[in-house]
Amino acid sequence: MRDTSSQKSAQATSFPRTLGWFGIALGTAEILAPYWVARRVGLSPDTSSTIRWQGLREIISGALILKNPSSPIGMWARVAGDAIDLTLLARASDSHTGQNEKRRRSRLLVSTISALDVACAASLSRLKASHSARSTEFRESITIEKPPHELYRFWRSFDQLPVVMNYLESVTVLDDKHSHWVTKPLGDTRFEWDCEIVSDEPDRSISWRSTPDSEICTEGSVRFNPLDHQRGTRVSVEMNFIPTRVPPGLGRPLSKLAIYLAVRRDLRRFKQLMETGEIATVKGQPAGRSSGETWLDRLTSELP
Amino acid sequence: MKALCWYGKEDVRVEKVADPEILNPRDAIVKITSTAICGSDLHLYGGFVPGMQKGDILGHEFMGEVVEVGSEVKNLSLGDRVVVPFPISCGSCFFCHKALYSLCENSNPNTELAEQLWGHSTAGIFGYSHISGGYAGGQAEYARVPFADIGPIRIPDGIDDEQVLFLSDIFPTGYMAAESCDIEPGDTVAVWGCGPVGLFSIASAYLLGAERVIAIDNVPQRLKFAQRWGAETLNFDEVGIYDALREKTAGRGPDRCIDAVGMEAHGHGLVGLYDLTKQALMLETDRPIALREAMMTCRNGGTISVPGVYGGLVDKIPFGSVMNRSITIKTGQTHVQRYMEPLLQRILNGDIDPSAIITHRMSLDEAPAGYSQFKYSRNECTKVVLHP
Repeated sequence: MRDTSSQKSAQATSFPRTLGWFGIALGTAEILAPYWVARRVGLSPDTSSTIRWQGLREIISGALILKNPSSPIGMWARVAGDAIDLTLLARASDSHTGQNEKRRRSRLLVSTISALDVACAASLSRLKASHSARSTEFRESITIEKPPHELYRFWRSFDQLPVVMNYLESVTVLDDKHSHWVTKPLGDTRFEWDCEIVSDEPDRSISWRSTPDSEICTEGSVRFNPLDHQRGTRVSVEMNFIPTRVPPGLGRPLSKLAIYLAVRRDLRRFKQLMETGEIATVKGQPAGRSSGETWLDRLTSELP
Repeated sequence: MKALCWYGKEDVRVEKVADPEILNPRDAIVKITSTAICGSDLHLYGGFVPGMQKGDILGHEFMGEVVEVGSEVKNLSLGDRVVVPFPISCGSCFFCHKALYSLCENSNPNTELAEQLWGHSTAGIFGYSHISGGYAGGQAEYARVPFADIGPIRIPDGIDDEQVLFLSDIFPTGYMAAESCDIEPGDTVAVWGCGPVGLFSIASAYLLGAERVIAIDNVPQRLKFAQRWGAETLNFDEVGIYDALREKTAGRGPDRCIDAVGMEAHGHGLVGLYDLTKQALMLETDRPIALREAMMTCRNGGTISVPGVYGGLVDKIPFGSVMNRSITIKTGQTHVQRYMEPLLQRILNGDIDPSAIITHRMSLDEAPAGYSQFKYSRNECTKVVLHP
């Protein structure tokens, strides 16, 4: 999985890098030889100082692109600069009539390049947005005043996990290494996937991952570290979660905040269950309002 | 059942709501016989506490009869008369093991809010905003009591509700405030605020061996109460507190100071105007006037104890005065469970009669009027007890 994604990003950045180098080359020419550039594109010699500034701008945006080719910022800076170039060429069309043909050709050239810049910038922006929405990694830890073997035993049986992970409806153990996970409906869909255990150190750690044919790509691990002086156990969970599709009916990928809150709450519920035997709740208590839902429930209601 | 529900600033209503149910195995349901309005309820009434939602049931000082228990509650039987402490505590976490019950890690289902506001979350509390878990409170006919095997204490026959009701909050609060002062023989203790918590602080200070207690307030009726409980009094509308306290303490200032006022302190002059203005502009959430005064007047090397409730941020705190003069500050929401048994013994021994501070008794239906009278100190109102 990781290999294909780095290949993809190398491909994705080769075009921006080309534009970046082009900008630096052009910018250098504009700074070192503004009169020559003016003559070539059909502008009058007294635009030379403006051309020098444009040269500086080209070099800066080029440098931004080369520094971080997958970021859209440098590319949008190029687009802004192209707009200035086109304005310069448009405004100069009244004076210096002999150069009309040259200016026309320059405007065509700049327009073509700026079209490429806009397309590239837009695609980088889209890529960035979808990349951050696509994969979600999180790490959370909590301290529980119980010995590691009690906590390990609860987790390893896997079928108890829905008690503390509210978004899960069921986890069915298929055999020693495999289990089938089903979520509660998100929007109108349930997600289902099969998991296999990758490593299992009794009383110390468990790690698992979804099987390759699953519609959700997820990996996770939990570690149980005993703390000194009988202070209990430090439980650390790492999970990586990449849905291949947005659940219809939800309309958008799950927000990172919703997932972050869900994981923290899961761990807190695990702690409550292990230390007190029950999970603290106020759902179902009376109140002077018709709906049982509080504003806090609405805030965190993306996940059950 | 009927319950007192919050609907906004100075808007509380008695409404018909569903009866509570057992939700967890360690719950119990209590039929409430007596319940009180607390000074901190007035912060909710005034709209100072964030995290409230229209319809929330208020009330955290209540007692009554056990009418239902969950499957894991072995220490209570149906029909037991119990007083319920206001913090909800599991008894099995790091903080409960240290008897720091108001810091329980497992009783607040909404830890994110408190963590944003305060850095860490604290225990759930009855009827005190969703920051404290959003638990339905006890100004009602019935209440669901979580972790009933840890919190409520049984009351023997032969003693009135009114004599023990305040074990739920204000008596342990005043006691913990005085205990936090680390009173030594010969000490003079100054108490800001002669509301119920201040009055119990005065009584507790004497129980813990203070030589003198000086009480500060501006409501004449409250000052009279304080005198009845043995304190010398100062009216801050009539005298400058700093000079008066120095005079009374050989020029050094009181050895121990208790801020039983909290975030809605009344000030006057420029200082008062400053805090009121900033609060109105939402640039400051709390008005720490009494706290500032305590900090400036406390003697070098003394202790300031803060039971008064604060919620957010305070301004212009003379911390230079505190640091340079070796002042100790101790604070906290009361760890009520720790004090209930010993203080019940004190009551049974006749050392103190908490019911003396009650000035108004009314039915649950009259509660909105009770809130208003308490807030504006009308009719010499000091403490309101409701009987559903």
